[in-house]
Formats: sequence, C-alpha cells, structure tokens
Amino acid sequence: MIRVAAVGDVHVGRDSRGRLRPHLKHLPERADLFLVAGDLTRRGLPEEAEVLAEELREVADAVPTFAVLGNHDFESGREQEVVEVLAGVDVQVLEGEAMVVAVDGTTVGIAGAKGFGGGFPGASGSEFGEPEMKAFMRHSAEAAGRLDAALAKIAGEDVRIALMHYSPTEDTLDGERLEIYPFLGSYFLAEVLDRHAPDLALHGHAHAGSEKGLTAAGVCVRNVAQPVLGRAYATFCLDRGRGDVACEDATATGETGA
Amino acid sequence: MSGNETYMIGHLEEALARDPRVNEQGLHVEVDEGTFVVRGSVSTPERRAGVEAVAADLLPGHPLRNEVTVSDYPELGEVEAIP
Repeated sequence: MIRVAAVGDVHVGRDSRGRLRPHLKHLPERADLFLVAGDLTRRGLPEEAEVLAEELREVADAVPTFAVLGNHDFESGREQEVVEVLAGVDVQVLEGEAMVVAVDGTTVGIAGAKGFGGGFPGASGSEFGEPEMKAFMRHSAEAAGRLDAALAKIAGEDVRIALMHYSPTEDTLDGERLEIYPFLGSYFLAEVLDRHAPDLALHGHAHAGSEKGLTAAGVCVRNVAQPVLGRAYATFCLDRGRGDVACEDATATGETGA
Repeated sequence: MSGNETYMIGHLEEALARDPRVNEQGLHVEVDEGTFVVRGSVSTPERRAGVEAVAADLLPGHPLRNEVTVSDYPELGEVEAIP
C-alpha cells in the first residue's frame, strides 16, 4: 500500500507566510510522499519560494516531497531560482525528470513535467500559420515529450505516478468555461499517459474544474488544484507493491483518516 | 450593459490576472446596474484588498462590489483508494 498526498495551485506569495503550514500538520502521518502540482508561487519570485520553503520544510523533512512548476512560476523569468530555493529544503522540482523512492520495499516512481495548453480533439490548436501559433503548439508538443521521457525512466517501478500542472483530459475540466479549455491542457499529455499507463496522473491549474477523470485508455487522472479539492490536500491510497496492509484496512482502522 | 462596459470587464479581468497586487486568473467580473461586481476567491486578505485597488486604478469613479472571498482550506482525513 502506498499513500500519496497531493495538492496544486497553492500560489504562495510574500503575504502567505503561516497560511499553508498549519494545514499540513497531519500529512506525515497520512502519506508516504507529497506531490505539489505547480503554481507553487504567485509570481515565480525567489522570495516567494523562500516563503513556500518555510511552509514546506517540516513536511519535506518527514516525507519525500516533489513538485512541478506551473504557469505562475514562470511569470518573473526566475523559475530556476525558485527551483534552487525549494531544493534547499529537499523539495525536488521535476521537469522531464523522474525520481524513485522506496516505501517499505515498494519502489515508487514519480515522473514530472509541467505540460501546457493546446486543447483537446475537435477543439485543438495546430502548429500552422503565424510563428506565434506554431510556437504555442510546439511548446505543447515539447512539454508532452518531456513527460514521455520522464515516464520512460520509471518503467520498471512498482508504482508509477505522473505529476503535471496542465490537464491531460477534459474530464477534470468540467466546470470550467469551454472557451478556455485550450489554455488548460492538452491531449498530447493523455497520449503519453496512455502509452505508459501509470497508476495515477495528477494535475492542477483548472481551479473551477472537477476532481476525477480518465484518459481514453483508462489512466486514472485527478485534478488536485486546491480550489477544486476545497481542502488542504488530497490523499490517495494505491494497493500496489509489496506492503501487507491494504488500503481498505488502513482506511477502516483510521490509519489514514482524520 | 453597454459595449463599453463589456470591454471594461475584459480589461479588468486582465488587470486582475496581471497586477502583482492580485495575480489571480480565476476572478470573474460582471456589471450589475452600473456596478462592477468581482467574484471568485484568492489566497490572502491582501490580495482581496488588491482587487479594489486594481479596480480603482483602472476604472476610477466606477462603483465596485468586491464579492471575492479569501480561501482557507482545512486539513481533512479523506482518503481515496485508487483502483
């Protein structure tokens, strides 16, 4: 059994000190790892990352913590500094990369990539026309390529999780205005997921979307944007690997409950 | 609603997304009998106050109703078993 806590879109700014940490107090008792699905900061400033680092320090000390960047984290062009600040408290930011952690003998691979917009079949952009449109869609394809590369690195692990900021499916956008779907995700990401079939795919970004979805081939997708969750983070239990405690047992005994 | 108000809604939503006092893309603006109404949620009281500051700069003299809420997300113990 592997327990995963996840949240996205915490949008930490200099005015956020002390607002996140109190709500993560019980996370180390409830999860084996913590994943943060982008939009870590409000404007992508290193000083905002410093605030976030302090908010996450205790959790990251207790459980392996990984993140991807979101669009907000690129606003100031200082995203690499954000990554470095977070690395200072052992929060590893993944982009086209994967990490593997062992939990009671079970290996868990986390493949991370921000992803991008572009749209979904029937309402997608094309790499055609003006250079700006080509660049938009090229970035979408390249972002999916980085997810592909990351997932390839964890092909042999017992449990495999994909972590993104943008959505791979329209399912978890339900509630958003249809007109903005192409800015919220891309089917290129779903294609990649279906090729690798991870156990779970997490994303954020769509604040008015919905929690649960599937790709065309049935990969389980969850939108963990904090406004969608309405709680500090979501916790998932996966009955995989070598542990002898089943999710059902753990939840029944309250081990992972409140 | 006048055409002018329609465009002002667009510009205010754009400003709320871009202005460092708010930086929130998920806020919605409507006009109710001449009053601009902003709805949605932000993470801090400072950003909620920022909504009014941004609107005052962009649309001076126009009445504003700030219905933006400050989100506070509790830590709950719900667990979802992934099949």
